[in-house]
Amino acid sequence: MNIIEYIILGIIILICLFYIIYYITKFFRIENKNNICSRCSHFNSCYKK
Amino acid sequence: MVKKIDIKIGLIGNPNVGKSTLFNALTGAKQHVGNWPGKTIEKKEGEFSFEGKKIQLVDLPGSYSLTAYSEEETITSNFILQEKPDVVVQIIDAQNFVRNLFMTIQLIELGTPLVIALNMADLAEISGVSINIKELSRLLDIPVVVISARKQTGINNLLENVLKKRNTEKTKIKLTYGTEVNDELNKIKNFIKSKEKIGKRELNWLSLKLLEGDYRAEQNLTKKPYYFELKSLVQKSISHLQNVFGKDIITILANTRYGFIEGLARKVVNRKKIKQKIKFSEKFDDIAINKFLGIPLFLFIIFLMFQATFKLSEPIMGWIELLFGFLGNNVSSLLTNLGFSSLFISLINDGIIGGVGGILIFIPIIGILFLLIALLEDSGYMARVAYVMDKLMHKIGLHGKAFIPLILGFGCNVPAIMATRTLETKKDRLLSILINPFISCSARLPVYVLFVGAFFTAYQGLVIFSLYLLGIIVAILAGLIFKKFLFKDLSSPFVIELPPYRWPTFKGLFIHAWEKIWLFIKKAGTVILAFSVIIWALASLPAGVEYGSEQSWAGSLGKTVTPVFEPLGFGNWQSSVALIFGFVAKEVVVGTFGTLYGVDNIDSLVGTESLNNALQNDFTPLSAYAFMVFVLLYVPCMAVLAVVKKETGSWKWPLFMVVYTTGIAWIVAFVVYQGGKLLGLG
Repeated sequence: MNIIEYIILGIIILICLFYIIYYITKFFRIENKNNICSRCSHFNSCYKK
Repeated sequence: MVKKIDIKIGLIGNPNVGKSTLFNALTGAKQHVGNWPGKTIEKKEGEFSFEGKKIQLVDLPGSYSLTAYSEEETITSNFILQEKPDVVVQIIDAQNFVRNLFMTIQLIELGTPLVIALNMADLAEISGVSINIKELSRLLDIPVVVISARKQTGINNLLENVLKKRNTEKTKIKLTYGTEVNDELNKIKNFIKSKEKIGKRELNWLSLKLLEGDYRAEQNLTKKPYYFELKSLVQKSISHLQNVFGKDIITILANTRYGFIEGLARKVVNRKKIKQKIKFSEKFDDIAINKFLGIPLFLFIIFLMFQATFKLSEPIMGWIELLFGFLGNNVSSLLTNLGFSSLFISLINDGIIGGVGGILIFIPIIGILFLLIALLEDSGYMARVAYVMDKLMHKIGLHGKAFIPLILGFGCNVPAIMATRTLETKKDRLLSILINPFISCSARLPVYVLFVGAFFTAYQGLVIFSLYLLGIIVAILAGLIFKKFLFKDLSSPFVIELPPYRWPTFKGLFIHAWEKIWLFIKKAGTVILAFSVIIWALASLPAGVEYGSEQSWAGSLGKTVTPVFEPLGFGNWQSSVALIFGFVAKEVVVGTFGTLYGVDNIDSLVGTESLNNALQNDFTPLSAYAFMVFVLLYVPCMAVLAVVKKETGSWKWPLFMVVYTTGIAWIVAFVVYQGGKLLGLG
């Protein structure tokens, strides 16, 4: 195992780590483009009483 | 340069009239089409060209009216009022012609440039209903075109009419409510007009909605300085009309609309007396929605579905095994010949091929299962299931309509949770969201298949069927508990629509199955690949330890959690690591086992066998079943928690979900394992 292989392995692992962080956080970053109600956040205040 | 949109068309109609089918036919999109009401819960946009014009098509959620009773109805009316499409195409199901006309009347009142597409006229003819298209078009002063969204006929004619309609005036037809109502409407209109500048179309609609007592129309005005003055004026008008007619205002307006519809229908609908032979649909419905036979039939069909899935996918899985076996065997020797070190070869073999390859073998099972589920959905059978479940759902305070998001959960809990938007009250919605993660989604299937392959080869279909059934039972029981402690007063009554049975199209079924397969492949190539590499690293470090041994970082991580799972029968550290990472996506559980057990080339026949052997060393059939139960019920994946946060607007509910799902999973798996041991099954 030479130094170049260690570097390549390190880069692969880092990319994977970053991808996992991206994957986990992306769900929370997506804005609801089809927001049901433009006046309030979803259904909390505009549901029929 | 991107060409500008020339025409914007809104596609509108009652639920289940073929909007999504037409949308797919026009835009070439692959939106899933289901034969049940409430499939499209958001508006969807697509583009296409016709006669040199670039057309944007917006598919709106199905709704029965433009009154804001539920969110999909609000999306539809907001779209027409705020985004002002050039033309609105209303799809009318010729079989339910009269009911569909209620929305037509509202669209006319809204002043929308309208074209009617009459779908399923052939089916209506079979049941003896024929519609005089020319007369209908003349009476409404609106173009009416016969189409078949499924067979894709009449579509060019429809588009030609849309282009023509764009440049012509709106209908001259005006619904009159009589002098009394019109006087009150004019008072409201004049008042609003005196206070602010507003288009004629919006003014007419707003005044009518205010008089109807539409709470959302009123809510839009609460911040206006003249709100209280207007409110008192509207109240006065409503009281006056109610006194004059002796009925509530909604009935007064609805009577006029239905009167108009009735008159129109008499002129254009011709009902032939056809020989009353009992249709297949009625015959089958005698059993499918029977009080006693409906649920057993549903369970039997689901059972058959799993049996068929295994039988049909077996040979295809064999071919994939052979293919990957051939590839895998050569990768190792190729890398050695190229001079790569053993650590690098281990990354490729143990990490990537073990983790990702292990999951790809399940493609045929996923594809065939979802082909069969799509067959049940598209044929209209699932709507019957929602109908028969109505009584059971009422026990937990929900109605049959809430069962539809549960069925959608078989595919993925994320769209299923979004589909709860069709429910009308916040409490109905929250309860449906909270019980949805117990429904077994497609991501959990590979875990079951892996374990039944190792421990229950003779009863594969039966074991998996039992897990799906357990998911439904736990969802209903959890619903009962939540109803008792969290939501005491539920729910609104609802009549679920029973669509006619239809033969699904091959294209529709294929699209549905392919979507699932593609999602699966994408996950295998991205997040599962990334996790496989990280788990491989954790199993290889610190330097010098044996790969996948207890001394590795993965081993240490697993061992810290293992005591929690010991009473459930799976106290091995590999299971703990798999369950921890399975929190992100459930498919990762299988990939983790593949990586941790260090199975070289899992996709070869030898590889699968060696993974099975490794599992058999650490599990008994009883503990394997308890493990599958835990995977079924424990914390849903990251995407589900994110969508729950988004839909409920708070962190409280997703965090609560993590706690109760994991708690229930632990308790049920404990009961299964310890109970099984007491019965001598261990």
